[in-house]
Amino acid sequence: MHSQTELRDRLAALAEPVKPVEGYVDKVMRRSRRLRRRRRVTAGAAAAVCVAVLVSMFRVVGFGSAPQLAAPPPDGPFLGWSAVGDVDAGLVQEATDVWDAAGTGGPHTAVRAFVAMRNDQQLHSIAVLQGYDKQGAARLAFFTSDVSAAKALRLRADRPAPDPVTTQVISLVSPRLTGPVGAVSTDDFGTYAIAVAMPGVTTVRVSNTVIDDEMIGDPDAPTSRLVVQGFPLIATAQSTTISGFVKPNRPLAKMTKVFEVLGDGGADGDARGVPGKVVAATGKQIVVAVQQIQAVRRGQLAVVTEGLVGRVTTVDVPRGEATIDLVTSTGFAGPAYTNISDVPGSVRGTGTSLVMERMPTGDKVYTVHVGNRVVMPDPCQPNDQVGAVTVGRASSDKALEASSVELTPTVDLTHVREVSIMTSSTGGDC
Amino acid sequence: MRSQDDEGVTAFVRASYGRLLREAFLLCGDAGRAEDLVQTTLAKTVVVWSRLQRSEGIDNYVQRTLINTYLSARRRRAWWEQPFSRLVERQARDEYVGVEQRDWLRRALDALPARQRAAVVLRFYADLSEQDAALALGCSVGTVKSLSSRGLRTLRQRWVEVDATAEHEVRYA
Repeated sequence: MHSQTELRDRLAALAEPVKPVEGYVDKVMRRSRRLRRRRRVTAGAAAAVCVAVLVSMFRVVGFGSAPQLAAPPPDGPFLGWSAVGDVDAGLVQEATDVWDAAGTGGPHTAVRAFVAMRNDQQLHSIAVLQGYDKQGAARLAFFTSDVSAAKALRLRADRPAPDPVTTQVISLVSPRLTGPVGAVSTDDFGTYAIAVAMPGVTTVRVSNTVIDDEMIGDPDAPTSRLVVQGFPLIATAQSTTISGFVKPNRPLAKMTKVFEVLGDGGADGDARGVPGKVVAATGKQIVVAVQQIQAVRRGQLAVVTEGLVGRVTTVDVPRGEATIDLVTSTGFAGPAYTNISDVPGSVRGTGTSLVMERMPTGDKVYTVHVGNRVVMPDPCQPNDQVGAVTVGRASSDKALEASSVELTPTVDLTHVREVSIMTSSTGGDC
Repeated sequence: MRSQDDEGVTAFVRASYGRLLREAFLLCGDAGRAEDLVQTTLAKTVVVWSRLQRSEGIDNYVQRTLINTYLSARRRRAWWEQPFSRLVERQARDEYVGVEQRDWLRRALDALPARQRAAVVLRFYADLSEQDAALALGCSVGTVKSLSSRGLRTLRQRWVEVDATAEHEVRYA
C-alpha cells in the first residue's frame, strides 16, 4: 500500500460488503423516541434540582420577601410590648416610688416595665415604666441615675403613653439624664439617647447629625431592642434619628430597616421642639403653621434633623403662623463657632449663600478647614454648647490671615416641609 | 407539519444509513458495533431534526455526531473490547489474497488510536476535505493533517512488515 489511492480503494473494498439489516428505520425511530424520553426526564430532574437549590439558597442565603414587623396587640391604652431583658423588680419598685413622689400624678397604678436594669456603664440604672396616674390617664416615664447623689433614681420624663397601635419605638434624648433633675450634664459627651423598640426588632440604631458619619452606629452590630448611646452636648432630640432593623432568621440574611423616626425629647428643663408645617415659601423666608403657637417667640431657631433652617422673625398668633428668615437670607445673622475646634465668629446670610466672619486674627492662629462644622447657639438652651444647631460646613479652607469663610448650609432649604421651632422648656420666653 | 417532518426523517435515514454504516464499520471494525453507532447517531439527529432544518447542514451535523459518538465511546472503553497489543497466537492466513488484505487492513485500523483512525476514514474513505474533516473532528486543520499523516505512516509501516513476513515465509517455505 504505497499510495493514498490504493488506501482509498482498500478502505472501500473493506467497507463494501457491509449491508444494512432490514428494519433499521424502525430501530432508529425507536431509539430516537427512547432518547427523547430520556432527555425529557433528565431535563425535568435537572429543573427540579435547580428549583430545589434555588429555594434552599433563597431560604438559607437570605433572599426573599422583606420581613414584616407584626405589632403586638395593645395592652389597653398601653403598649403591649414585653420587657427588654431581665426586669429588676427592686428597681421597678424604686422607680414607681420616685414616680409617685415626683409630682401630682401619683400614686401610679398598674405599673409595668419595659426596661428596669442596673449596670456599671453609662447611665447606671435605667427604668422605663408605663402606668395609670391618679386621674386614670396612661403615662410613660423614663428614669435614670443621678451620679451626683449616689446614683439615686430620678424621674427624667413623664409623658402621655404613646399610641399603642402605631408606635414602633419610644425614646428620650436629653443632656439632662445624669445629674439632678433639670441639670445639664457636666460631661462634654453628656447627651444620652435611650431608645426601646417594639418586639421583633433585632437591632436599633441611633444616629445623630451633629457627629460625623463614621461615628454613626453600625446597624449590623450586635445590639438589642434597647439602645443607650452617648452624644456630644450639642445633640438634641431634633438632630437624632432612630432606626429599627429586622434580621430574618437566615444565616446570611441582611438587616432590613423597618422604621426610621426622630428622637423624642422632653426631659425636665429641655428646650421643646414645636412642630410647624411649611405653608408658604420664598427664597428668603418660609411661613409655617404651628399648633402650639403660644410657645413660639421671635428669635427662636427653626431646625430640622440636618441642622438650622432659619430664625423666627414674626409670630402671628391669631393665624397660628410664624415667619422664618432662612439662613441664607440677608436678614439672617448671629453668633456661631466651629464645632470641636471652637473658632468663634458670626454667620450671615448673603442672599444666596452663607458666610462665617469676624473670626479672630492675630497672634493665635485659628484654622478652619473645608468640611468643618459650624454651629449656632440656641437661645432657648442654658449655654452656647448645649443644643447648638449646625448651620453649615466650611466650603473651603480658611486662609491664615482671613477672618471669614464661606459656608454651605447643611439643610436643603428648597425642600423643607416641616420644621421644629426650639422653644423654652416652660413654653415662655427663652 | 408533523407527518411532513416524519417523512423527511424517514427519507433521510434511508438515504444515509448505508453510507454511514460503512463509515462506522471502518471506525469500529465490527458490523454489530457499527450498526449501534449509526443508529445512535441517527437517533440523536432525529431528536433535533426540526432545529437542524433551520440551521446548519444536516450532513455536517450527522458526520460530526458520528465521530463524536465514536470517540466518546472509545474514551469510555467499556463499550469496546480491549485489544491485545500483541497477539498471543499467530493468526491463520486467509485462503484468498483479497480476503487476506481486507483482514490485514481491518487489523491495522484496529491498531490505530481512535482519532487517527477517524482522520484516516474521514480523509481517505469519506473523502472529506481537510476543512470538513476538521469540522467533523472538532479540531484544527493542522491537527487533521497531523492525525491523518501519522495514521497513514503507521499503516504503511504495518504494510512493509507484512510484506517482509510474507517474503520470509515464501523463502523458507
